Amino acid sequence: MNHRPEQLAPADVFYNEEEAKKYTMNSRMIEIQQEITERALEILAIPKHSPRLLLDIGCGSGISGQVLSEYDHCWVGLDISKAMLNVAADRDVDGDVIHADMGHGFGFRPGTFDGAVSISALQWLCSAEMKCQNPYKRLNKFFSSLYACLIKGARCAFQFYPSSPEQVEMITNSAMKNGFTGGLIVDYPNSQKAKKYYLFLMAGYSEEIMNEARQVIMPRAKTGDTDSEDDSDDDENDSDDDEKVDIKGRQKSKMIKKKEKYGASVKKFNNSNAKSKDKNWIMKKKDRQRKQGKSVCRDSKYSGRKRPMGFN
Amino acid sequence: MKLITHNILMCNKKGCTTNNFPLKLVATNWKDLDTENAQQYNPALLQRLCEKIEWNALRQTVSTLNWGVNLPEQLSAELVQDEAFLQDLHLLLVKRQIVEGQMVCPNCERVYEIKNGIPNMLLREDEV
Ligand SMILES: C[S@@+](CC[C@H](N)C(=O)[O-])C[C@H]1O[C@@H](n2cnc3c(N)ncnc32)[C@H](O)[C@@H]1O
Ligand SMILES: [Zn+2]
Repeated sequence: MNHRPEQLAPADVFYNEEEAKKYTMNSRMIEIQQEITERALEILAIPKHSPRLLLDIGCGSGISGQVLSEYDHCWVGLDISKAMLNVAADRDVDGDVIHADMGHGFGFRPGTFDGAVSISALQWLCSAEMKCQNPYKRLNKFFSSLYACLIKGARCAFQFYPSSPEQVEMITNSAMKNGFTGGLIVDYPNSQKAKKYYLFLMAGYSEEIMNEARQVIMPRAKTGDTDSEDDSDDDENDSDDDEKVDIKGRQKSKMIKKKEKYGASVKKFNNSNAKSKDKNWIMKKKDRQRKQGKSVCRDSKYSGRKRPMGFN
Repeated sequence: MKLITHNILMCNKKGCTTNNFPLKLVATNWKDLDTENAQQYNPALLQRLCEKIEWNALRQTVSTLNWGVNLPEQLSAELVQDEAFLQDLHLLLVKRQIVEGQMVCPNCERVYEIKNGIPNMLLREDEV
């Protein structure tokens, strides 16, 4: 009944040009990927104004990465689909994208990345790309080389679509076996549609990172269905309140956004397969940055126009 | 691909575990992103990246590229606080893109192609 793409074809076949285009044209899809990425960042709990070097696994066309950029992080993404990566490259995403298979492990220098995200990709590791591949081996290779390329105590947030409880177990077992601690966070467990699984992992223990994260927020699952502001929980706090990631505040704005969406207007902000970031995209990005309280260049009729190349 | 990424990539071929960094970089086509399209200059980010960079590898790589860029021998604590230096580093690490080229493993000589700015690090199954 439900058609799980990872059971239909290998990822590099499934994510062809046709499919890649969806990730630039379908504004609803883009919005969902962005929201998930924001949640993943919340789980990483990086203090404000502390740009980091992050890894985006299964980065696709760079939608998740663009959110990381908006929070000023530097990122490197990898993906097995050349078609998806070409879209990322054509849109000049800020991060670098690499053509690689996460099931092969990574060739990154050890102890490099401050954290990792993966948005809607991990489930692909559970089904073999080719007959000769063994999903268990691929998962192990993935987690062991992931552990190696992270700094000690680095946090990871991997949103994925498990097809069964066994699959969740298979993934978490492999992560634990390779030295990670952490667990599963299930957001909106009571909603068929909104329910999302996040694998939250830590690569060993670092006092410093733990303290930072404590100051931001401890990860926990979101419970309420989207239109109740139930848990007015222990905001034990006073002075440094606005240094925290304010889940409730953000929730609310998402709620409003959703209502607006389902009401009258479905905002289309992206309908181009143009060669560079198109004007609408830049406006949208500026909008999002303004919302984050950043200073942003004034919009002008020149915004988004291609400029002559800089110095050599 | 930017130089920051080159600076963290090693050869990942089966059995290739020593002397597999830095990959020898040949840049046949490169460009500088204009300000609108590049990530904003951010000293805090550059300082973070400085903690991670293998400076000798970066210097060595830059010297083979003939870009006329001369990096200081050492990355000192004072330099990392120096605005002008960080600005230059921003140009070098964030704005400059290698569009076409290749990277060759100094150990096993495996060639990794860079096309459309994307390095192809995909291994064949028998290389894993
Ligand atoms: C649903 S897309 C999500 C893309 C992106 N993270 C986003 O949020 O827009 C899943 C991505 O995972 C990638 N993927 C699947 N298997 C992979 C593998 N073995 N190695 C690397 N990437 C893989 C696919 O090519 C696809 O681009
Ligand atoms: Zn090698």
